[in-house]
Amino acid sequence: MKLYRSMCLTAWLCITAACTSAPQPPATTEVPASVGAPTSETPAPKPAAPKTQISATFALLSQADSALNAEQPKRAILLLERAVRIEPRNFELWIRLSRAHLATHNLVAAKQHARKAIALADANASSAIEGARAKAWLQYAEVLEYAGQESEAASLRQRYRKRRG
Amino acid sequence: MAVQNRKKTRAGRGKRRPKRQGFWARVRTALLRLIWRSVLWLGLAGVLLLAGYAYYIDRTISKTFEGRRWSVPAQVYAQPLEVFAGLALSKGQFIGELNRLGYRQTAKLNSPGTYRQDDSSVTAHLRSFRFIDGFRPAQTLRFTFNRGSLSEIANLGSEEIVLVRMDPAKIGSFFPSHGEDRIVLRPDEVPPLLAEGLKAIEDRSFDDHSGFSISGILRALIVNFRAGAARQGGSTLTQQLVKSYFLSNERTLQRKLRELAMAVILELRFDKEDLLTAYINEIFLGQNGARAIHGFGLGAQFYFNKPINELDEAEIATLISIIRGPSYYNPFRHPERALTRRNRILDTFYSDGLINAAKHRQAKAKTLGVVNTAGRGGAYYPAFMDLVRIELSQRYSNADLRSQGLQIFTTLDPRLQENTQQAITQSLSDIERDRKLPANGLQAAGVVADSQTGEVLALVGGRQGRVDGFNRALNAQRSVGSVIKPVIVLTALSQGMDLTDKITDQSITVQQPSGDIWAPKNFDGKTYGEVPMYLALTRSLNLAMVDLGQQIGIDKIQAQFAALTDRRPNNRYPSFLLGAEAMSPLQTLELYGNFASGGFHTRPKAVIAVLDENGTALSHHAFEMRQTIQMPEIAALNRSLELVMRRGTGRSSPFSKLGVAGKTGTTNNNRDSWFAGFDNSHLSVVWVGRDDNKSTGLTGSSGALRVWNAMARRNGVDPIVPPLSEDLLAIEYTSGARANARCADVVMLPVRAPQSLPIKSGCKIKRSLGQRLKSIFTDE
Repeated sequence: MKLYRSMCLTAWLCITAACTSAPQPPATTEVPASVGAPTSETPAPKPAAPKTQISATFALLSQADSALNAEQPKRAILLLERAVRIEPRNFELWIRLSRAHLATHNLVAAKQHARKAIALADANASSAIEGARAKAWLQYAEVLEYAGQESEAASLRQRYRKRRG
Repeated sequence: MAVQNRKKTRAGRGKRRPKRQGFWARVRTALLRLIWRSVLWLGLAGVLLLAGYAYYIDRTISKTFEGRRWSVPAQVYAQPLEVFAGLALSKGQFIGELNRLGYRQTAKLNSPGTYRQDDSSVTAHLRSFRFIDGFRPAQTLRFTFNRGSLSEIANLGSEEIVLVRMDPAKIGSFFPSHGEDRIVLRPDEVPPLLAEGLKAIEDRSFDDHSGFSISGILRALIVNFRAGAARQGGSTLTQQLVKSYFLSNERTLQRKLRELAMAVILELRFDKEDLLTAYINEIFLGQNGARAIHGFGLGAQFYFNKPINELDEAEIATLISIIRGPSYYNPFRHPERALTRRNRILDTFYSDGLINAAKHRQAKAKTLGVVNTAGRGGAYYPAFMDLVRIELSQRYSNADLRSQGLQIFTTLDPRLQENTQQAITQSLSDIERDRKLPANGLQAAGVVADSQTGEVLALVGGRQGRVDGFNRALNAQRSVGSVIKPVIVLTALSQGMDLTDKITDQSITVQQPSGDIWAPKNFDGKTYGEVPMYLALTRSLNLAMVDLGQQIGIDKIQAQFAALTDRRPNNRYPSFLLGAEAMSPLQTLELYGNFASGGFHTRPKAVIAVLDENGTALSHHAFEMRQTIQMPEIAALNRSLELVMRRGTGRSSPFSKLGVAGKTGTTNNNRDSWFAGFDNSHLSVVWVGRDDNKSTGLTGSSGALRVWNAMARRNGVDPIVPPLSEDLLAIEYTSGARANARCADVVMLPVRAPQSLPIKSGCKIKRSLGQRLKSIFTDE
């Protein structure tokens, strides 16, 4: 079980490291000292929230997966929203949220959350995470198919399946 | 013989005739009969009346007492802090968070709500809490810190813990219009010492009497007679409960009799435990503005900022001491008086065997220990609570909110809220001092939201926090000035224009449908001729923006505005282009949420979930969003808003070059000063002005931006992630021509049609490897 967890964690680290860390400047983990520079009368600013929350969000993601497997999508949504509050720019979390909403037949939310995942993936565009971006698009295809837009879904799948790797 | 005699006798009787009575005798008999009958009828009527009255009282008690026992105001909670290794949270900040939640420092961690610290770690005994997605039991954890951040969380078995959710701070309740607020306790939640202590101090024969106590009344009479004044009351706990529940404070015989009758009926209908619990939940313990503090549950929070089950002997004695006179024994205003009475009560506890000698000694040695924080016991943030109320009013009635014991989980971040309030209060004073403005003439509002989810993290409705009053963040409708300009630029980008496209900054006059001539001017009164679109935005050039607006068409711009805000503008005229559109700070936040989130509209949201009193979820307010802007347009717009900060009207901010985006706004005669800005995590909107709508003399930069700077100092800045350099082109800032850093003052911008741009003379443009590779597959 521990081995499985550490394997999952490693895989998760790889994905999120690619999607959240790679294109980011070091400033996202630690605000430079100059941030606080300005004046003498006010205290130095507090450092911004770090983006090294991978283990925390992974823990929530695991619980959300379990909830989804147990056919408790509403609970999964609650857990995933918690994870998003910790790491709002992690598009993988938005993909999972889209899935969870699809499981509750909430097509509007599923579609918009998939689009959010795509936008975040695009904003972090890098060849290193091309596969992860494709994943966001494939989730969107999933929603389209569920909504009966099968030809659009098929076309997206054709375009992004290979890129997912 | 005997038989004959008997017969005679019978015969004799039969023959006997009544003697004729005298007149007076007959009158007397008639009178006696009348009296007897009257007494009978009156008695009967009295019994009937009494029965009716008893029935009436019984009904009143049944309806009111039972109903009211369940009238519990909704409790509102802030967002809990999620704690994990790597979080930028210092040991001091963590202890601050524990103190905010009412945790107390102790050597032993033998009860929830306690912590202890050493050089680099804090060990806390967390309280249990029922969240919407599950119950977290009480547990003891060790939090280790290293260089300003949390490095490890472990349990007592040294097992590493990945993520811990702290219990959420209670930030208020929706108490009824009569102002009574309370936290209702179940019988099993009442500390035994409180129950026994109350009986010892207030009603020794509580377990034995039937609602009133003759011996108690006599004892009180003797004590008061000896003292020559009313020193002791003879009321039982049940009578006090009746007085508080049903009756006024008038001192009449009629009211006293009613009180007695009701007390007796209450005792007949309810058991002792029920009555004692009702008393503990009902009794008045103090006043906090318009809010009346009722019951020991809220009393514990109000006076000691912790739950009732964490009170020690001295604190329980203090609360009991307040009952006799919440004003007279107010521990904040009359600490010595309260301390004396508390110690007398502790003596009684000891003499009655409720506490042992050691506890008695320790408790008496303690100070009162009341916690005088401004928002004690909840109701910290009335402005944010307004937003919660508005949001909930769509799903719940006022009666539900005030009586059903709902638990409402909100998005509020207490640390951010306090920082924002402090920043506003302090900055306005600083501005008034520096600019020699009359003191307290300026007002302000501020809202902070999560840039990706639209959840409102802080909301300040005026320069004085924690004061119920006009909530400017929600209700002040003020012209937004240049804050509207990004909508024009966005519409232009959506129409296929580039940031570098030229627009004309020259004098313009527009005839309005009313016949009036509108002749806008730039802030400095000058004109700048042809300028790139981004420059018009960064310098906030009015004439260039009107020119751009006229080119695109005001209808298209207003349609874009409507798509971004879900509402049609009120002003249909060209002056809309310069922000002659009244909006509240919250509406402005909604508009800028589209930009900060990377192109998604989210309605600012304050509520996460609502649970009923049993912890069952009634509603979950999930993230809702709608994509409103496509990627290339939002990337370009946000880049230009970053430029506003780096080079334009926002450049005076000490944070301007650290990766923040935003726009200042100033309205005619400097009536309103606005700033809307965001970084990677937070979107903030600040308005500064006067309630009488007179001029402040402030621009967006000298007013609202200054407030935002103070907020950024307290909250920190999370820099925006820059786009990949291969998507950006070096552009000479003032001309909009292609250039490089060696030959010109350049800014990096995304440009869709770089080939159409002129190249600054003398500049050798070398394309990047990425651009060259890209050009192989494109026409570029």
